[in-house]
Amino acid sequence: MPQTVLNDGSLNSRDPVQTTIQTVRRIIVFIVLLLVVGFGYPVFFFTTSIYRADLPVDEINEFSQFLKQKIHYKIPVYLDIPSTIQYSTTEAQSHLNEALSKAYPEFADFWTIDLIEGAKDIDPKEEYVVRFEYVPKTSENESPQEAIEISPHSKESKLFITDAINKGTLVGHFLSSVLIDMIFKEELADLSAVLAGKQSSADKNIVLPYSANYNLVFSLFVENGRSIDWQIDQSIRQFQPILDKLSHFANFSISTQVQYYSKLSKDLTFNESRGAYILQESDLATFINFGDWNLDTHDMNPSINFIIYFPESNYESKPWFIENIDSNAFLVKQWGGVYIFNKDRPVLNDSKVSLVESELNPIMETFASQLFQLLGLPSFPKSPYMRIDSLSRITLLKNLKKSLDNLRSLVKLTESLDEISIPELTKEHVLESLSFIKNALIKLDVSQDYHAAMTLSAQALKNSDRAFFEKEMVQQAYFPSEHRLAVFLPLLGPVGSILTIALLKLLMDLKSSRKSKKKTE
Amino acid sequence: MWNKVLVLLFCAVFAAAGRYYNESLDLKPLPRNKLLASFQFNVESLPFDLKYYDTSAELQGNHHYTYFPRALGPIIESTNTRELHLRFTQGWWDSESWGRLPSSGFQSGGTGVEVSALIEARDVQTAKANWFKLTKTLSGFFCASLNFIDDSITTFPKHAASSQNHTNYSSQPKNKLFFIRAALPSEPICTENLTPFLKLLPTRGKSGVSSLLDGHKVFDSLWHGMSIDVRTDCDSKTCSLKMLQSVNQVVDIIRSKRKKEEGGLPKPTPGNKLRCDDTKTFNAWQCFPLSDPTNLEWSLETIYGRRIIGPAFADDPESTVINVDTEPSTWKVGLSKNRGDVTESYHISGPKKNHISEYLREQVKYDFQFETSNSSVVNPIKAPPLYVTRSLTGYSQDKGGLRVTFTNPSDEETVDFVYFESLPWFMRLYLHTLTVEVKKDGEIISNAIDTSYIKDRFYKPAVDRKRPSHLELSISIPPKSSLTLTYQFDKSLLLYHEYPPDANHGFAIEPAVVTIFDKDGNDIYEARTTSLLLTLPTPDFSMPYNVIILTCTVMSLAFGTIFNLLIKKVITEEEMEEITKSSKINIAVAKIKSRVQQLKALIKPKKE
Repeated sequence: MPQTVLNDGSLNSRDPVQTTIQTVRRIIVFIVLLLVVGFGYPVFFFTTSIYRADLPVDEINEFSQFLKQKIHYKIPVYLDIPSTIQYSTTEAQSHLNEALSKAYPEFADFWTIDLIEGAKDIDPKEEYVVRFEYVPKTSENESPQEAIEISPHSKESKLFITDAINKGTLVGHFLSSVLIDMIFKEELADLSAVLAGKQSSADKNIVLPYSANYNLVFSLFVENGRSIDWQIDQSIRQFQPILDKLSHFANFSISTQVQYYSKLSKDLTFNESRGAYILQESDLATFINFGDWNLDTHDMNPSINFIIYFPESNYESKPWFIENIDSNAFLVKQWGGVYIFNKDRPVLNDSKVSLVESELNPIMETFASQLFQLLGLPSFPKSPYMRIDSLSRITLLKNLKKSLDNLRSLVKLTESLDEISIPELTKEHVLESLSFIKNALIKLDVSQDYHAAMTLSAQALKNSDRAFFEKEMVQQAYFPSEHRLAVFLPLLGPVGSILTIALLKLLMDLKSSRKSKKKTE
Repeated sequence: MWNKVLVLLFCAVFAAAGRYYNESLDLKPLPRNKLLASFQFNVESLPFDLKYYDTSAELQGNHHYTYFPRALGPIIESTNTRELHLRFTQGWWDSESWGRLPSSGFQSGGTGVEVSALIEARDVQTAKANWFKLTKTLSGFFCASLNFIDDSITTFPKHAASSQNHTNYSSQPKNKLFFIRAALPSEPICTENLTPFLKLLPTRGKSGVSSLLDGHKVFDSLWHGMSIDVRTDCDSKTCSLKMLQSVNQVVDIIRSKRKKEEGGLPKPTPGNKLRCDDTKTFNAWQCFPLSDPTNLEWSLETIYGRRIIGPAFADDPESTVINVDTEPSTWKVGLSKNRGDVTESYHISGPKKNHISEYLREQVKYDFQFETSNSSVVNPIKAPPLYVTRSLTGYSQDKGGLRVTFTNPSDEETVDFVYFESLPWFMRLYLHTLTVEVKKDGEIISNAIDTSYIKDRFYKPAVDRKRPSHLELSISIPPKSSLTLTYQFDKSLLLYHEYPPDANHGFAIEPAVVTIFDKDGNDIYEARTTSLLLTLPTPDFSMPYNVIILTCTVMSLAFGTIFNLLIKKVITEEEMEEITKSSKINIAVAKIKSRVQQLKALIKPKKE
């Protein structure tokens, strides 16, 4: 047996057999290491990894960064100008653009008005129309004033032009100030608020989140158990035209109900001096007894509730009043409206009470205006056609912004949590949402059809919500990686330690053999 | 399944009165100081145009609800549900001493929750989609686990449902009607199911007989069942939804009295109140207790802790009625009306001797008082037409059997019925092991599968995780005989994640349904067996981790050994010593040793 010492390379370094054995050992260690690193680690990683679908991060970022630049509102306004008025469309247009960029510098290329001459075949219910009318001087002393008349029943407005401004470019000035400061004032203010990420003026937490479908629920809450006949069916027919106008904006399904034995959570005190029960303003927040009254709707779509409350004291001809509110109606933010009903004539004790159409119609008008508030319609101009148009444009922007915000948050979440799985379904919803956004933008660019674009944007919002709240993803949000390591420790621990020691030894061997080589040389 | 008589009764009530709501409370003392209380609430919706909704479509048109709950209406309409039956039952009905089930058993489900619906649809897929939508919505509404209803427990009953469509609703020409059913036998029934139930009532439990219903009292009973049945009734032009809600319960009067007098905690009876048997030894130390007293006095307030607050609707004098079934020779019924500070009470009796019917008309608080000299004398108890028992046989972990015995107590009449059973897929049923044994007066008269006893069979085998096994047998039993069915099944292993958290508790098997038909093929009675508790082979749930850890350890052991063999050299002991001699540590150790030796050498001479 040759004198060999494992640790001491210097003794056997010249023995050729020992050298080959040592090389073979080194090669073995090297191969095993290679196997573990090159094959074992990927297999371990692959079999224990969490599925993370690839999200189109760049696209989302690009969209949310350049959303404003991608939206182009171009609102055509048709002009009807008699030849007596001195006016040039190109000048007026440039004036308008100037005035707009002065008032809202951020709106360049985002929101523009397109002035078009000739309004003969244009339906003023569909498109914006401005009619000019020349008012000649009637007498020497009295010169007529310029005036504006905005129709409450269509998208038409009338400008009365006098001699005082019927010269040079003054008519164009007048037109641009009317458009920017009156007709589109609220819309512009709201749009700029949305762009800046602030709450719009009409909002103040009153407006319900947008949905393509709403449930309208009209409820009659009766304080006691005496049956009441209410002719709601006819009154709802009065309501229908308003909903028809809103049909571009959203669909509404109507249901009505009567609920008896609906007591308030707090008893009212009778005010002798006014001969009535007085409801304090501070009590309005707790007026609706959510726990007891049947107000739940088992439906995916949001509900807007309108309540007519019929107090028992109607039988004693004692009315209910709300302190400081004359209309006896109030709005509940993001929820609905309430009207407290006082019967005009005293009720005979044995007769059955009925709420007839003539009594219900004024209430329905109150509810209609409350509905406009809850949907976030601008308060000016009066014409519902203009308001709904503006609302569509504002909602479109809101929806697009909100859905992109959702997608951005999703990306952020997945980037910050490495352990969260991203199921294929999330990716699908994200892609769908993006395609809806793209389609909405295309619709807007090609045909300026903001109603259709808004419907698409609502779909985008719905899909982005679905992507963010995907069940599987949220479920596994907290699957810790320590568990994985703990379970496999009996394998990883010993194998790892054996390999490390072998590697250390190999390195030491190499070192000492190099030293001895140097010595011998 | 609906008793025609009952249906006719409803129709008569609705038609005669032309009103949309009425309610009743039937009180019937049972032997051994028990009371059967049965609350019935009838609601009818306004007539409306019935439409067929495609799955994607939203509800259209205006929907008006007055007495019928708006919470339920849209769910039913949007899923094209034409009939809905929901049963929440808990407890065991003692048919030997209590007789027939209330309303011939058509309102009583089996233990747990049972739901069935008649759904109009183009095809099975649409019907199923609507069914799952319906059950999911109802689950949220009733706070029950109905959302766990999936394909694996849903059945489409065939024969048992032949008489289901009592409203004779006919579907649109392209559509079909599907009767779908599912049961959740392990579902507990409690207050959170009663609250939404009460919310469906137009009075919402604020007046009328429903003001008695309180979760603590309703569920503190020997047996209780809540049911909701909605049917669509159409005439030539319009349709309306009719809903019958009911709460049936069997109350132990002694228990209620004790709770009222002593509170919820049972206390030992003090010596002076002990009731001892005089005929036996009886002194200060010895007492043979008698059974419960039979001369009792109690009122509705004793049982429910409250009084009835007026009629349901004050302007409808016939909206609320109380019916009492007692034996007039031993029972006295009193009615008390409480108007604030004045209470007026008097005895009441009906035109028929053993039946009292009283309409509540005034806006006062009502209480019914019962006084009896012998509570064991009650109106005659009618025996049910059939007794059924079902039990599990076998004791092994991998297989078992079922044994069902039907007994016809009648002296003359043959009983025809359909036995419906739906078993979960993890019970692998072997129908070839089915044996039948017919006994009369203790003697076996037949043990062949004879068409004179089992007239018809329907069997749809289970598909793993997709479909339960569904067995329906049409059986006929001659008078005074009993028929026993036995069949075997295998218990299968479930996947790891399919076991519930309390897997060792066992799996509840839903009750089987027996529907009895008369000679004309009308269903006249319905009963259910008890639910069963099946123990499946249950794994140790830490097993996967143990397996991983053990395998890992073995693998790393093997790797370590082989790896060391490959890269290390084997040497003899002598060689080892040789090597260690020249190693640095050994040199150091040797140095220390020599130092110690030197020190020792220094110390030793001093000692000497």
